Amino acid sequence: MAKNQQIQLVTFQLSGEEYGVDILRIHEIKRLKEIGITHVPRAPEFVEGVINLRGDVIPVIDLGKRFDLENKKVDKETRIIVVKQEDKFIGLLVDRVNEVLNVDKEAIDEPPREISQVNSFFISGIARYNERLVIVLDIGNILSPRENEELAKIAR
Amino acid sequence: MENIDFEKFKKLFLQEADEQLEIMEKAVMQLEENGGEREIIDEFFRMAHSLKGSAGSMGYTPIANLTHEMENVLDKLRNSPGILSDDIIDLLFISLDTLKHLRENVEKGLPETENPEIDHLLQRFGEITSKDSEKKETDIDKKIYLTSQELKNLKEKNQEKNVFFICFELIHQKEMQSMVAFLVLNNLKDEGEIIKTYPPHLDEVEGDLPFFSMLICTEKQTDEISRVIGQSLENEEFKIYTLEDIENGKSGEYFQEVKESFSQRGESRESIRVDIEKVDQLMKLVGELVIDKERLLEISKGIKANSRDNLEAQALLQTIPHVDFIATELHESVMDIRMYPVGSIFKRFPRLVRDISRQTGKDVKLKFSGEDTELDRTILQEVFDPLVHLVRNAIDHGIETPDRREKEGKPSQGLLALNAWQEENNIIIEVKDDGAGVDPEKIKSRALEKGLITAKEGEEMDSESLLELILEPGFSTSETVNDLSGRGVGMDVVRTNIEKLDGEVEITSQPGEGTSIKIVLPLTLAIVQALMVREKGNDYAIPLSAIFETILVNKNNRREVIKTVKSREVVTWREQVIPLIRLGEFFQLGNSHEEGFLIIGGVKGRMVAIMVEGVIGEQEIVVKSLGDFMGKDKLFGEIPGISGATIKGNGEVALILDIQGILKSFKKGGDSVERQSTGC
Repeated sequence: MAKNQQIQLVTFQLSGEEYGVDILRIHEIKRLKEIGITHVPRAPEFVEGVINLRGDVIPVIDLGKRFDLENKKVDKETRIIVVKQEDKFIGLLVDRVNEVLNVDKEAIDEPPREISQVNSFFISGIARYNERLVIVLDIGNILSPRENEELAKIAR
Repeated sequence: MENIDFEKFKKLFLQEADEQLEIMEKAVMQLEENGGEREIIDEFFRMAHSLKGSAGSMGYTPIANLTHEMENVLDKLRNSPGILSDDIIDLLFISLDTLKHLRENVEKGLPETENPEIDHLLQRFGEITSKDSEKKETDIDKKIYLTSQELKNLKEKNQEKNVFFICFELIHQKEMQSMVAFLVLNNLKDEGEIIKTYPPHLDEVEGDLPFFSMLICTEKQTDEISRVIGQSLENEEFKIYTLEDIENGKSGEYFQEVKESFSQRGESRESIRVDIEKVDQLMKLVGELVIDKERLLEISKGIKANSRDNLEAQALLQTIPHVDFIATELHESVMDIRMYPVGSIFKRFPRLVRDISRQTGKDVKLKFSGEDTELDRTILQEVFDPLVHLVRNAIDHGIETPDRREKEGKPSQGLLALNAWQEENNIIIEVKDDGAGVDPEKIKSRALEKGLITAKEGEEMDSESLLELILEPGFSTSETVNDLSGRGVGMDVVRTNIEKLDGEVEITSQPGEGTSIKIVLPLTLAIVQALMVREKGNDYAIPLSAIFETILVNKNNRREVIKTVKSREVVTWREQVIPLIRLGEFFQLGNSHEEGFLIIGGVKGRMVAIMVEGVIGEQEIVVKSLGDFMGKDKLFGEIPGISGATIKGNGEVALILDIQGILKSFKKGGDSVERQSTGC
């Protein structure tokens, strides 16, 4: 193992906490204002709707609602991060995109149980960067249906 | 490089082998059914021959050896069709199976191993061919054969000239018969070009030659030719036919036109092989084009209003309709490429039916109709497995054993029909048998036993809904579990697969008379005509195929149109009372409105009136699947009433309403249409 293996995290803000996603998972970042989101009736509440991504219809998930966080109003900083999961594109609605951080892999710890308000089902680790703590998300679990989350809770 | 080339050729070989094997298999089936028809044997021979050739050049010796022996037997058959026996048919069947097996080995790259089975086969073939050569060839076919294509070419090339088919029998002349024929031929050579004769080589003929026939192309007329022949024939009778006579089937027993067959398709119509992925890519691009076209049309509406004097704008407005036209034509052409005849999957059934019939001890005749009906290729592929299941079921459970049938006063051979036809925007594929049929009462008791329905539900169900229970998971009426069917899985899988394709399964049955199962499929899934409607600021598309009428509702006619029966809102339409669903309430979008439009829609005779705020207009929409996200255990969960999405002219997404889904959900939910949304 090379000593200083690094990963690049794109970090963003959600209800006052800082989160990160591996840059390799990210397809693009769009301003919410540029896109018309179509509401999907009777879908789970965290589904903001669907958008047209160059001819493909993809869902947009409100991460705040997904994590049951306090919701910040949509403003000019609101962004949609388009990630790729198993060949499917999915948009994640976040309060603000911060920056790209180079983090040593060694500096990412297993998630402790009560680190954040967010259910640890969605977290793959905690990255230390100088004095900052960035919550690294598990995209796969975020995109699984609610039932799995319940199951995971019971399993714990 | 060498290896790459070899792989390429191997792929090509495998592709061709598949086709050849399929045609050969069909040919054996036909031989079994119709006896040794020349045309079929020829076709078979050609296929075996070309497989032998390609296998030989690729170095697949066992395949080449086996096809070589098949060729020998076929050649014998060609000369004396009378020797065709069940033995030979069986041998041919086994050989085809072996060839398939060998082909698999080639595909998997397995080395050729000693195969005693092949040796055995080769030996059996050898016995047949040698035994027969001892027989004197008494009943040789005396015909001249021409394919339709050859006939056509003859006609086209010789428009200025006449083509005659001449034949005679030597009745009085008993000696030197071949010399007489030779004289006739020789004299005619000066009059025109001899195209074909029977026998082909006069100088090789030994002994008697009581008949002779030929095709000649000449500038002379009938009477002149007739005079020339008469000189050499003296008092023997002869006949002269023109091309027209041949086409009209008057040419008598020494001439036969060979119908167009598979291998000759390439001669009459040029075609190329294209990777299906390329066609799919083309389809996707055309889809994008259609979206942009709709967008252009929308933009042009805006320009029209405020640019009377702008010449460039006017030029643009003239161009857009043309783009619209071209895009639509292009779309249709690409769709057409994707269309495939249903016959392409039907032809895989004769063998299957034969095998299942043997296994189950039934005697089944398979019939087809509508093989030319075309269907989107992707749908067609998905429909094969469900069809196999239905056919298995029909033979296993439907058609009775020959004894049983005779007792019931039916012909001992059961009839299984695969039919296909188009009905409006749907393609229907039917599997129909004349077997025992299904007894709704038996289904009821079975369903009660399995706990699929309650006694009360059973009482209320009509025979049609009882039949539909067969499609429920865990239902099977067969007493015994066997290899073929009857494990309680299957029919529900058939339904699930068909519904995935946006299709339906319909069952009708008459106890004692038979069962018909229809698969109703959409013509295509890609682009459809739809009505765009608006509700609470959202646009929805409703496929036109599900809409019967739109009715404007305002404060004047509101009370007349919408009535309340048992606290449910209904609409009377063409003397039918149909339930009313307010889209806003159904989708939990907020309070309802008292004015708007009623969309009268329906599927399978079940009707519904959907109330929306506004109607935007008809539009061609490109259907985008939401299947990755919608459904059980998926991100959105199951969303009743939505089948997919499309992209509007302005680039935003609109959801496509699923009338059948709305009906189903309405039926289940009863009065409480506003239930908790799923997945939440």
